[in-house]
Amino acid sequence: MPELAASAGPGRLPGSGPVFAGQVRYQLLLTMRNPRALVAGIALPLLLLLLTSSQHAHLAVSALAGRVVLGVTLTAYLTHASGLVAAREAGVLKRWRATPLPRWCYVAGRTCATVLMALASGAVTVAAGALAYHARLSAGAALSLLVALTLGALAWAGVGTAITAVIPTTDAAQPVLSLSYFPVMLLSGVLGALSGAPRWLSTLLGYLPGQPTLDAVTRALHTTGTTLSLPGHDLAVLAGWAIGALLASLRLFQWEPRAPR
Amino acid sequence: MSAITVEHLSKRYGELDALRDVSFEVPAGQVVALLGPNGAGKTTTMEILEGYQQPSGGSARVLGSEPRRAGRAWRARIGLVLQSTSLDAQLTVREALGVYAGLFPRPREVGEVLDLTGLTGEAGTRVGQLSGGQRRRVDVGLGIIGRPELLFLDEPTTGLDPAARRQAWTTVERLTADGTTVLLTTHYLEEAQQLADRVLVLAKGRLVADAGPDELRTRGTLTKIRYPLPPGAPAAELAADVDADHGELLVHTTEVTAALHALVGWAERHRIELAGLEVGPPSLEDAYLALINQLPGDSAAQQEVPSHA
Repeated sequence: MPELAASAGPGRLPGSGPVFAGQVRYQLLLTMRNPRALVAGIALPLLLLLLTSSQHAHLAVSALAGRVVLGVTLTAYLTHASGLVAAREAGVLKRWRATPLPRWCYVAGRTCATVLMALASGAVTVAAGALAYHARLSAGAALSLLVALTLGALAWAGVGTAITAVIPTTDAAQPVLSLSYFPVMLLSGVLGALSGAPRWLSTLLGYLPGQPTLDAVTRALHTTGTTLSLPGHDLAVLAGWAIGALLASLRLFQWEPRAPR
Repeated sequence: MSAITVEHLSKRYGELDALRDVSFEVPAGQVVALLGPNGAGKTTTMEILEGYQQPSGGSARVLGSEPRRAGRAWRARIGLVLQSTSLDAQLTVREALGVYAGLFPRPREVGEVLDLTGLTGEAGTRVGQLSGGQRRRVDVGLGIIGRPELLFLDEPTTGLDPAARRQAWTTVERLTADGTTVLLTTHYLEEAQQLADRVLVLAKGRLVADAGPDELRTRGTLTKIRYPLPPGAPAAELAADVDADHGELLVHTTEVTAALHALVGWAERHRIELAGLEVGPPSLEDAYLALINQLPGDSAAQQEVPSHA
């Protein structure tokens, strides 16, 4: 019996550009309607900012940077990774894989939406901090902040994507993600600098993505002129994490639920 | 033309032979039902044809391509409804269909799919707020939004109430009228009878029957005699053939004349009208169960066909 020819399907596939834009829109919609994302990315940093402002008349730049980085990384890492695991376990990723959507488009679209949400989180926290303490943000600070937060969010979202390969179920997601996130962030000083940390720990933290994100954001907030002011070493570390996580994800990312459905 | 060609397909999971030497073809435009007890290999077969799994041996070609290696253009020509629902709860039905429609070269209009699946009234409702049956219909909608030439339906009506199931059948019938090829698995034999041009029966990884539903029903030499017993009827003489659970006489026999003679004699002796008496070939369910039960091993014990679906 003759087979249907492979070219029998008429019509051209939509181009990558519109498909990617559609994915970003779709993922943004999902994230904005996810109460967990809003609590972690917006409400929690604002609450911490409010608590700080009730105790101190002046807000240290490092404290604001900590709240900003907390919201951004919670969004880029915890929300992003747990959402991916949930989508995989629900069979959503399996279904996407069977569509004409290029695989890179799903992951890139989701990462892009996460970075945009993380930037929104950072913007809201910075705006709230500036409003509460009558502070002004210079053009250089805004630009530097944009670069630092984008790179930080990309690195954390990349790591969040890669780590889903070792998380078998949604039940396992919270402990794995919390244990890999909170120690790093707390030791990095996101809620206040630690004193007396051994040298080896400080060195190690300098090469994990928490401390460089915080340092880059702190320096960006200190910028007074109109030019970029960013720590090269920290940005290089973040770029390294983003690229390393991308390569790991390309090799290890799982599209199907671990348990048979 | 053949939409699916499967030759000597096998699949092993460790020591388990999930599929053994399975061969069949599905011509374009045909609706084929893949039946079998749990663990028979239905989902494994579907997943190989959908490109999710690599066969251990043999070959499978779908729309002219090897599924595991096929690209975007091939995926634009197939549609699938997975065994479990797989939807983003935060989107409305219209949004979900719109997102998927944007991936295909010539998708159906969202409104058309809403109409086909009976979800027009729920278009603005978030998927997470729908009932299980409505979500299943969204699944079907996503499967057909790309105007597929070949549609895989893995137990598409499980969890639907009878009215919704019939609506799903109507949807499939409208699709097949357009020439869509359909491969479906189901535990509802009534569904296979209603929709399928052909039935493939798998048991323990082997293909044990490949025939039209009517051919499968009439293939055996048995005739089915069914008579709902009136209340208080003296059924003692018929005890061996009476199904006490359903209050009816049920006989599968090759000696139709003798069995009817005995039944008519019994009715005359007790002055009972044989209202509701049915004589005919067995149902597809009867034929399927007979086929599964005559296989060696414990296939029958695993079968899971609702007796009154």
